[in-house]
Amino acid sequence: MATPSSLATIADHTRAGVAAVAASSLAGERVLPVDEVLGNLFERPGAVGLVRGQVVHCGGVAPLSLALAVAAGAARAGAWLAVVDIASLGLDAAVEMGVPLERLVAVESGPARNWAEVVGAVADGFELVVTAPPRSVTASMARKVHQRLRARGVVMLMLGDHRSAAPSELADIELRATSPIWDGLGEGNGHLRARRVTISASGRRMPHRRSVDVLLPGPSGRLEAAGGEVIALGSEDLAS
Amino acid sequence: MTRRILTVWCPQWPVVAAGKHTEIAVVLAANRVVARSAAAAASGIRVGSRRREAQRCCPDVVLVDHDPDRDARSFEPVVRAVDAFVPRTDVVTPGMLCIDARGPARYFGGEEEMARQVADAVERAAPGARAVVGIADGHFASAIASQQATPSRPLIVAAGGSPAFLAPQPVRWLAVAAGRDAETTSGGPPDLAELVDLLVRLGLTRLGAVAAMAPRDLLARFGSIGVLAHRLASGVDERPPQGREPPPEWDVTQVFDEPVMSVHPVVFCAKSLADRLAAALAAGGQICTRLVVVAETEHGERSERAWYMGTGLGAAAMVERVRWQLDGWITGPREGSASDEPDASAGGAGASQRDGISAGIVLLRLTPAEVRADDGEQRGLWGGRSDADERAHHAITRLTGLVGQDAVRVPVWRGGRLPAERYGWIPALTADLDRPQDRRRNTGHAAGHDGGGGGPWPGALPVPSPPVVLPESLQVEVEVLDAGGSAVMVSGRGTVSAPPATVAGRAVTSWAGPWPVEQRWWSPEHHRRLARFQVVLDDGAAQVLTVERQRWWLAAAYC
Repeated sequence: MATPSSLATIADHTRAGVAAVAASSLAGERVLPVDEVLGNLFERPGAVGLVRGQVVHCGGVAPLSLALAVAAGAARAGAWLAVVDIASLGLDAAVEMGVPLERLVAVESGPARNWAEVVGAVADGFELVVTAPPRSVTASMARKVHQRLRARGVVMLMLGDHRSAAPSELADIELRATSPIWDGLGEGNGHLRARRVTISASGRRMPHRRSVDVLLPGPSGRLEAAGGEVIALGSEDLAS
Repeated sequence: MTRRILTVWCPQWPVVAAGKHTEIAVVLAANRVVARSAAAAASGIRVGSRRREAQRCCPDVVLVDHDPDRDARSFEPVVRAVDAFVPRTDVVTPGMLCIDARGPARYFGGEEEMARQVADAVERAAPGARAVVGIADGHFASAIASQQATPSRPLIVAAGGSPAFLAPQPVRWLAVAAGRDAETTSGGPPDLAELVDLLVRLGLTRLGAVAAMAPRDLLARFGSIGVLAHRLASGVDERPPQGREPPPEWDVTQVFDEPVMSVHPVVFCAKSLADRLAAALAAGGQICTRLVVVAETEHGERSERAWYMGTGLGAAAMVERVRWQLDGWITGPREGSASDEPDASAGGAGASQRDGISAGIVLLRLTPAEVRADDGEQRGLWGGRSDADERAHHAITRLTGLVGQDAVRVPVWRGGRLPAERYGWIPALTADLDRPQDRRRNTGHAAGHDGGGGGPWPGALPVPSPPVVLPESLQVEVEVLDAGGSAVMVSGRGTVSAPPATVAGRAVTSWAGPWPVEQRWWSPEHHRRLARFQVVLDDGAAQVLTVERQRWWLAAAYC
């Protein structure tokens, strides 16, 4: 039953929708898609997704799962994924997370001074890089790498803690998984089924810390929503 | 004018190459049978069936992994034997070669006599290969004729009889077009198989029905592949080769200052040569259908081989053929399979060819011997090869130059119950990245790994899988203690002495296990017994531990 006022609302919505679509199709050129469960963390005016050229630092209790979950959305859409210097990547987990293995290439940089060079070469052909920078990477080296990534529009997912100068120097967005709760394992029975974690995102261009509760991994091995809403915390909330 | 072509085909060549043709044996790729010996065929094993099915038909069947390099290497003596008395021998793929039959047939006194001689030569060079020979107008008809011939009776289609011979044949032969075995991994248009599928559903089940269509309509409906199908089906050869010889400046040559003794560096150079050649051809709108690869050593030994592919050789296919040829030549024929051919090779190079080369390679040349206009390949709008794929391939090549080919790798599915053995890695340059369908099969999406656990490996860890899997060499030994502080033991019957309380000093909050695995109990040196545990520690970290001979190892982690 359409009353004139509800029609006007619909018309307003439609106008807003059209404008949003137009904006996103322009901005969409500059972003890679992410899984919609994480969408809220990567929302920005006009578009949702990984902004090309940015560096995302994945930390907390589940850095590799987090990096795979973030990469899966773009890799499914056709992006190639390079994994640099991670010898212990579990490919089953990658498949379950939704990463197509036919577009995954692993690279070992060898001596640490090569890392910057290798990541630079990777940036020429891949759209996603998952890597753990070695301890010896200096701040100036890291800046050079970041420039190259930005010029090529490559998203780098960086693992690990602040053990080298690179993360603090590079990261545009910091993702942290905290307070893990495992489900399915008992005292000598059951098996690991799902892990509930809180993922929080902060960063230079993010005025508020955002967080979302997810199952990482869920029972199928994929990233799943845990039913929690995004909580936008003000800076005063953080302090408390 | 379509040429008279003789095709020699060695059915089930991978089995012969593996030297297992006298046993009940199958050759497997990605868990599927790609070739089987005659004895295996008699016990009901079919090509394309799963490994389990083969083992059900015959429990003591010998399983051999598929190795295209081995196939190529063992085919080398056969090519040499035929090349010794017939000019213009084109290798289509390991197991199949074709020869321009017109001249030699006259020389040998008839096509039947020539077919017999060629088959004899092949069987002398490779005992156990039951070579079959077909002669017809054009490569396609000739290949089909060979597949329907028997070892004792070659199938000879009279001159001008190709269209009539092809008309009643089923359209599925198109998928085997241009000598491409259904199983070979190299080159060929993957969409020809899809086209066959579609044609059958449209009711065109015979090649004659396809030939009766107007080429215009096929072009409108299917694009250039439709025209190709029409040409093949009507017995005209794929495309008429150009009337003129390609100019010699198209040759690409690499001279090595330092003689090279091993295959890999030469293949690596071949990659850049092939890229250059393919680019030069593409600039002129041409594609190469017959490629001559020449390699020379410091001592003047020479290997020259022509490779044919009716649908055109891309850069990756060229490199593959260089690798096949050099592998067979540099390392020499392998023992046992096909090495005794005293009369085959003529000329000065003969003696040294028996056990590889005597000096390093100094020259490599690729010559496009036959080119034709390229019909062009449309970039895929959905699927197919995209711009991103193209750029990734370039980056892979460059990275390989930077860090070496063993440091740039792509995954292949192996299967197994332990996390570390489920996937292997192969150098990215040796994988054919142009064919995502095959890659998807090799990476397990269709090899039974459906992301739903179960699959063909009951007893593997349940989903979700650990994202950090330590290779055996990187696994860390840990100490697992019970509440009383003594080490936790697992008995041979799979019982735990006491619940684990700490792992490497950290408290365990929950755990499950032991899940025993017994591997290869039939082989004393490979026999392993171990048990797996999942534990969650007090800080929320989850790990997979394995215990083997009462020693605990950290095998994988969920982080």
